[in-house]
Amino acid sequence: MTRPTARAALALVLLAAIRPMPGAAQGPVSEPALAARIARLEAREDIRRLMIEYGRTLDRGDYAAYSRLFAADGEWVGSFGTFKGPAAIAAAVGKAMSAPAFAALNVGAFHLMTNAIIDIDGDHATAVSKWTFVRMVDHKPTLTYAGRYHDQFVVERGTWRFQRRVTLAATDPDPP
Amino acid sequence: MRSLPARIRPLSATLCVLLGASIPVALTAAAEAPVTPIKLTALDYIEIEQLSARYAFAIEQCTNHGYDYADLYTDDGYFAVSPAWGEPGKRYAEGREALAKVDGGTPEGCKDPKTMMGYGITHVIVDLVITPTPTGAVGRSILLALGVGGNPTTIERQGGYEDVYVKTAKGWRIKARTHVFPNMAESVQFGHRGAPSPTKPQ
Repeated sequence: MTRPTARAALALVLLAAIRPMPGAAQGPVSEPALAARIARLEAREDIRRLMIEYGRTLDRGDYAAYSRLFAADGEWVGSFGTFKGPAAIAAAVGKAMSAPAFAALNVGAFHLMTNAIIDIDGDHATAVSKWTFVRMVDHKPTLTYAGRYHDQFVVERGTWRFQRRVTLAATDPDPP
Repeated sequence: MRSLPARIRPLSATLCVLLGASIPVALTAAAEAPVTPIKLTALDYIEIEQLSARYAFAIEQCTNHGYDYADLYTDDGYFAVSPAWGEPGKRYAEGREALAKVDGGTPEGCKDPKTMMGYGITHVIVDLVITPTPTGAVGRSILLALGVGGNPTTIERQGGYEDVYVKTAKGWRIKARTHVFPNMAESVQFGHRGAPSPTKPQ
């Protein structure tokens, strides 16, 4: 190896050594940037909580609390129809879930909410996620239904709410 | 620290003058780098979780000629299947074109999903554990398959995934995903109770 080649090789080794590691901290973060990052994390966590509360309130039959997860002009779209506003949503979903054909079967039933992809844009956000509905059949948890949610969220009076939730069965096509 | 060979000591001294005290630090960092995991931020963890969630959707629905699935991986990323946790298994698809193809991608668009193995199955990926490594992160998760055997209410545990993630200029990507499926022979979907071995990632 000639001396220039050796020098070049050594210089490359040294430059590689002082290059930052992928994912390593890139230096101090400004306060506004840090605040923005924390705001995004808080928004994400609030939306995740909202999605979990949707299943929790539904499973315990608390349709009033369930309906308050929606914005004033929030919309629910699914196999029961399309309903707008918390009062209409509570009445429609409560009626459907309390029907004799469902009510007895839903004792001990629960929703699993998984694989949420959340995209936040200021005071608005969208998400797609999966739901699984498990009923107790002969005291055994039994998969009954599964599907996807397509969601739009909005901040209303400082709190994230559903602007629109489309409930799809597993084999339904995505909405346009 | 071992001393540098005499032949390059003068060059090292010159570069030390040019670059200041960073060289000894850099040499030390370089020596330690292979064994020190990088520090992941909360955002890194979330972005990797989102990558896993995107996989659960992309694998079920071919879009953009299969590239939406393939682009979850690095350009040299691969998908493998293994019968045991911690074993590398067999690689089924490697590189962007191969990965797009197994997702149903064609030059004209996407194959009819009804002709694809796994049609109608919902992939639920849960309990992802992310661990930082010197080059990025690794992950381990559980795969639940809903609707196997043509029955929408049949669920089976299909092992899980062992992943290697790296942070690229485009964000976190999968460098390697291994579907670990210890009970494949008993599977409703793939085992003797169902269809033959997989020809596409799950």
